[in-house]
Amino acid sequence: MDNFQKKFLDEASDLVSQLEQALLTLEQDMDNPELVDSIFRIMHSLKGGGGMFGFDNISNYTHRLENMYDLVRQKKLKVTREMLDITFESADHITSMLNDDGSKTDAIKKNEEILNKRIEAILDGDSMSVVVTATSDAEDKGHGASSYYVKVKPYEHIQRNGTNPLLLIDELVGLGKAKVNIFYSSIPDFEGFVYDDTYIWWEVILCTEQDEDAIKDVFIFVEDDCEIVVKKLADGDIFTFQGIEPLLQCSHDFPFDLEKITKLADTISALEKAKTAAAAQEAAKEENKGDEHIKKFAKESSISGIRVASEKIDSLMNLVSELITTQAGLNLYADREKNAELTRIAESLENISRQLRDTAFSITLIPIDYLVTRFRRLVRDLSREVGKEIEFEAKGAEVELDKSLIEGISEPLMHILRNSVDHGIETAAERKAAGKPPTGKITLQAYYSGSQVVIAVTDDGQGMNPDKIKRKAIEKGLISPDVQLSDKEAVDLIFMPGFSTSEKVTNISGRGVGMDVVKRKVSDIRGTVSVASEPGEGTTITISLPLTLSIIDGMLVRIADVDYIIPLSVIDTIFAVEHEKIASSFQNVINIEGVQYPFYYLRDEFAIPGDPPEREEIIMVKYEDRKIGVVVDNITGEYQAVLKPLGKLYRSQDIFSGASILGDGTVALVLDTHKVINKFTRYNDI
Amino acid sequence: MDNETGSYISFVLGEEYFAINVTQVLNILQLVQITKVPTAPDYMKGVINLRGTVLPIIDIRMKFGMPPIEYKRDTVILVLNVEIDGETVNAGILVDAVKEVFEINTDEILPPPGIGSKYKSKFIDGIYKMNDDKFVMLLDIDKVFSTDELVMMAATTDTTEAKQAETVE
Repeated sequence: MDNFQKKFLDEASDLVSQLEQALLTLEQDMDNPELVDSIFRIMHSLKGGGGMFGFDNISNYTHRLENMYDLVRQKKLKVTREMLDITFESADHITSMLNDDGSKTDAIKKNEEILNKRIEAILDGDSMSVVVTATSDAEDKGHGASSYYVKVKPYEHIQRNGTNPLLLIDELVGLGKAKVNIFYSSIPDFEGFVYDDTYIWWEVILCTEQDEDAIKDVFIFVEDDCEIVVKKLADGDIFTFQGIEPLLQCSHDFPFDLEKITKLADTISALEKAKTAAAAQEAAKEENKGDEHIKKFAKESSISGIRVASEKIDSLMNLVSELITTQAGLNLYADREKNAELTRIAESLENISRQLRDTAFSITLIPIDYLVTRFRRLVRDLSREVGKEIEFEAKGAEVELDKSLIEGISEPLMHILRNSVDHGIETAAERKAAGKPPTGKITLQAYYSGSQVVIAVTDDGQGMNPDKIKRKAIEKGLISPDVQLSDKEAVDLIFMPGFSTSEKVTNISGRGVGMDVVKRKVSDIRGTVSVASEPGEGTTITISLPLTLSIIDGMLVRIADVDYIIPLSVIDTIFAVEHEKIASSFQNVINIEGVQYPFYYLRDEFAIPGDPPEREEIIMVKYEDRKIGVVVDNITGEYQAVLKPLGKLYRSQDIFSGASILGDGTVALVLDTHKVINKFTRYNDI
Repeated sequence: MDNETGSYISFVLGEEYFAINVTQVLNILQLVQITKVPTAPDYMKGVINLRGTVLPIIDIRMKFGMPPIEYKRDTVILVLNVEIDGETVNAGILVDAVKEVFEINTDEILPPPGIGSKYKSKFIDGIYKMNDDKFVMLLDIDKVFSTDELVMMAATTDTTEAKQAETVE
């Protein structure tokens, strides 16, 4: 497969997801012509690209789909549910064609036959679709011809992509009546001439019955390879305007005098418009719209993003991490040297590295929206499969997460949604009986909370019954029958390995993996999961994630001769205490300012030999809804830690979430206080 | 056996000579400050900063059932490229001294000793007799890293450190 084909595959899968998104929106608003237009355009790109890069099967198939939407565009067909279903399935079909390595060709062909028949049925009008009787000719006439100015200025390299710009001009001229002006002046001398560079450009005055989009469609694959300006000059055929002829004389290298042409066109239009005030208003609006279009077009071509291979981003992030570490070294050195000039340079460099770090980070962030389309689709498909009516709503989809987190969170969230559809939401009949609206609702809500991102999935289903869960857990031997559990603790049992409440195994969620897998996957990316449920009211599952995986704000502390970092996000308060007070405490509980705190004495827990200092620091860290102390020798200060993995050999030491290299080149260990507390908890301590 | 040659790097642990194929040695480092990782077994000395990455350091002497390493002038870290469970990992081992790099023909390698040997034969690829009549044990370092077992035969283990290392796991 050559490079271009690969690129097309990338682009095509993007297009398919855009298609899905547009379809989901269209489903909510079936009469929206703009959405139909955008669907049509996506298919057009798929078709064109497919044909161009040798994916004829895709090109042929999308052509049929495109026909269907073309009829909708021409108002000869109305969007129906069947049509949406076909298109959804077509999106899957196209994806499988894109991914086909030859092994499934037969199955794909069969599927295509079926889909084709359904499309034909719609096109013939004998399915459920309502055919609007051949739309008024009047409307077509009303559309009429318009005149446009089109500037086509290919960049030098256009022919190297195999594009012949002359063919584009031919196609453009083919849309209606046209006058073409050619510009030769930038052709260089013979010495400077490169045979496959393009030096010529064109201006075209075009009168066509097609709309502006059709003109732009001519250039759909060369948008990035040439400068295209499309400007509407007037309604009606400009060539028939009186006095316009001298202005439309083509003379090479002298551009059309757009100002005069527009002025004349405006005067003439104005005269015509004056006849009916209403018409004038309409026309003015058109004009405005044209301008807006150009503006929008120009804007799109200038600030739209670029695609970058994710390895490049990874290596950028690595370099930034190294820069931060080196910066810390420079700061340390500058502090020691006490040289004013050096300090000044170190400070301004630090300022720059900070900004660079923030910018680089923002590049790796992806909005959750990226996942939402997939989820919407998942909920839609699953709910149909189980015959439930479910509405899916996503709030805060603009919240951004590190791309590695997005990758890590996708599967757990999908599993949670599956559970909600399968177990959470009741059938329409059950819901009616319970006095609820027949359509269930699943809400995904994302928001920032301090240095965390919270994603909550809420359903308004039947909720969880703590007693039932308890019984199940006892049955499965997960807890002993005489354990006293609060309702919250009972509900938390669903996170235990081997727990699955579903009475019957369905192919949606009962696949043997349960919430324990969700919990593990989330904690793999340093996140936490919690559940809250009200029987009869619904369930909310909340995932909290750190904003990024690779750099944390931490507190640098020291025990004996080793540095440790505790994430600032978990630290509540810090007290200095006499060692005496700790040594004399009973059962690892200390009284500070009248409050009893349990604590862990890390020197002991880590089996660190040597004498402790007289005064030690006790750091209160948040643990679930409590505050628990960890005692260290002293506190160095805040530190931006670039998190590095400790590696496979230390995989059993999971109380450390990683290590970080300090400014002086030594290594500090990053403490996961949650795991520290879990590891050293002896019952009755807390 | 075919007549290929291989390059090995030899080093000293206590009184004995060992060698590792040079293709698995990335670097030889002077001793630097090692950050101890609490709760890890004793033979895992901690981690160091190797050009921006975190490198685990192993006291290979303890792994072999010898007393823990004492830091001396010649003590160095050999940075190795080892395969653990199909994954390539970098790790440093502390050795008493590095001796030399030498080339040998594969047909000069003697099979690992069987019964009566001090070390378990599964960790030894073979034995080579040096010019000065000293024997060098060619290590299968991947196997050494892939197990929590001690390399020395259990029966000959008498140092308390070795037992400690064994029980920690």
